[in-house]
Amino acid sequence: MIWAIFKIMALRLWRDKGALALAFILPGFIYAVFAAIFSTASGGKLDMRVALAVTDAAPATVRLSDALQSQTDFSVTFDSAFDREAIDERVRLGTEDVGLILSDDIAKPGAQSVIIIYEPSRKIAADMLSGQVRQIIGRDLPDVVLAKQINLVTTLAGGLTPAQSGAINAALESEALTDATDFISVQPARRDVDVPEGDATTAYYVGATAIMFLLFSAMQGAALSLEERGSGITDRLLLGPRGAMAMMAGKFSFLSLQGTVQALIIVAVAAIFFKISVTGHLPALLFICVLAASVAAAIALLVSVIAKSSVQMNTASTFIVLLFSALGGSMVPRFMMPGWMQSAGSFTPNAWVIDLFYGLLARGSDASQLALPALILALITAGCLALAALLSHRLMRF
Amino acid sequence: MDSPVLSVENVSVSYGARKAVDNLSFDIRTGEIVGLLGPNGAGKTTIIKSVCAQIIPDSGVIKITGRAVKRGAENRNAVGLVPQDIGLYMHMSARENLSAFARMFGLRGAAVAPTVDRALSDVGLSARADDLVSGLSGGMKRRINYAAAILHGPALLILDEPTAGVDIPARDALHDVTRKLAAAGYGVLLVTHELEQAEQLCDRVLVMKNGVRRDFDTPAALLHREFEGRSEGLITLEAGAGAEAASRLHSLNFTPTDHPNIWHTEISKDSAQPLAAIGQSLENAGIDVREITVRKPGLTSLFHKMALEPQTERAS
Repeated sequence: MIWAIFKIMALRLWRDKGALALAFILPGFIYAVFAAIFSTASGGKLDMRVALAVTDAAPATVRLSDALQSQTDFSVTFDSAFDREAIDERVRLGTEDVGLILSDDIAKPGAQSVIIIYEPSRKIAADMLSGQVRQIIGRDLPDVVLAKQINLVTTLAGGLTPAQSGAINAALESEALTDATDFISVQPARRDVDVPEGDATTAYYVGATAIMFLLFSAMQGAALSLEERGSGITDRLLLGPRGAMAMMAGKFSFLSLQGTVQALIIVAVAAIFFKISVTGHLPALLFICVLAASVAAAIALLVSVIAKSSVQMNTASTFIVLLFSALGGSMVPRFMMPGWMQSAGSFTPNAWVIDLFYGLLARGSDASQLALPALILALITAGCLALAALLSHRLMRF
Repeated sequence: MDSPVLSVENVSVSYGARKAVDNLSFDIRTGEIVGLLGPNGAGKTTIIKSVCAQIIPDSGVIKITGRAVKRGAENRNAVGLVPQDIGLYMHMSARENLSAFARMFGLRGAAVAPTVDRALSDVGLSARADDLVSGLSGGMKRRINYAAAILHGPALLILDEPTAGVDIPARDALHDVTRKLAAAGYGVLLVTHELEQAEQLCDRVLVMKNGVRRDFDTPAALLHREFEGRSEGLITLEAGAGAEAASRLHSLNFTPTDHPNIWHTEISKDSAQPLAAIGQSLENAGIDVREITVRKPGLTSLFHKMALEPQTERAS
């Protein structure tokens, strides 16, 4: 009995070559993706993108600027025209993950000459950059560090007599010295809308969670197509006046509506329990929910047309949702991934849905700034639907 | 004479190098039930798909009520299909299923409810209309399967193994429904492996083999032509008859049937084989004979004959 059941299940898998391939290729692939993401995130080797502004011309500052631009631990975008406002804007819009402003002579004692600008959803990037900058200064500008310390000692004690040594020791224990030597200031990017930092972080996960859930849900709904093909319902309905296209349109409409309601529920929970402000942009939120639900529905329908069995559908849908969610930033923000993964993430709907929700709820993006991700999502939806319709037309006829 | 409901003229269909249907012609008239018979691989499914415009033939023309079937053509709506499986949504009631299918076939608003009620009445299931399909018996599900195919008032009804897996009372009920629909003016194409069913129901029978039309006529004319007045003799042995029995029966021109203990032969009208004597000789040899039967050949006999004949093709 046990062997018979074992054999039935083994043959079921063996004879469904698509499912077989997915079953044994996916684990390694999923591991590779997750290992790459999480090892990067937890190992401190981030492919960070840093926007650099230098508003001071002191020799030590210029040397630090050069050192920052020549290092290879993170990528630096520098433009001599960048100022505080430009850096705020670039960080807020996600053009770079974090900003760095060299605003004063770093050799000057007591000055907070290095300012790090971060986006609340990427605060960890600021902390990591702070450490990296300290390391670079210690490694590439040791004379500046020493001179700064001597200057500091001279300023504080006036020389190294025994009495002065005592004074230094006293100063070492004081808050004033700590402040004086902490030349790096870490500040959030300024934004047009007033969103508390905690809200910005939870706002990120509105989009991140919504698109992952919508994809899972739409895949489950679209699996009905497999049942219809197996039971002869499809053959029957293809005789109808509109054939395969009507079936596709009906399913797309339902899955989009279902997904829109699901996304709105997530937004409502975010508003009620996490105090995210949504009242100011309800029409835009509704539009984004519809877009997110539509793209999930279109992708699910495409998968259901391609899948030849329910086993294939289940495996493929799990794989696709996990992959999109991992690469697109639903699990871990994309800036914590290797560079190539960040690029790959741009091809997932998750990245653009997150961008839309976050842009609206946290960045205060206006319509022109939301237009691009919205257009990309609309194009993905149209492309998937067209391909699904084409394949469905062919598969159902032959 | 009325134009036929379905007219298939010199149709050929290939899958790559393999010819699934070769130069096939037949027709179905209003109110006529035509059986499509043939062993697996005969081309039955290909014919159904071609009539339903899911496959476009390499050559030839298929017309439904006089209009050629084309890809995406509106006259696909003139066909109602009863699929081999229960093509219904199990989580919905019979009425909900039929209402949904009616709308998908273009019915709107107030027209839906009376159409559904009429279809339920046609298949004798008005009383169970609001039961979930999953809770109905196999025979009832099959009847709802019928009802879903006639909602849009097609001219041609295709029944693909409509009684597969149902018990005898349910099968008889489905036969009644089929006759009733034909009497109401539907042309019916019945695809079945149940030869007795075809013999009882069909006005004409199309016999296919290897994609080629082997014969097309009324069952009586077809059987008369095939057997020319001969009868068939069947000897049923007791279970466990050995190789000697098989050897003896082979030498007497008997052939085995699908049933391991039943052997078949043809008996010429004017030179009937002494079946009783053969039976007696088997008994004398220690082979137990349970039954000796002489009967007129049916479509089962024809299929039996087809299975034994070489792969020759008869001209249409």
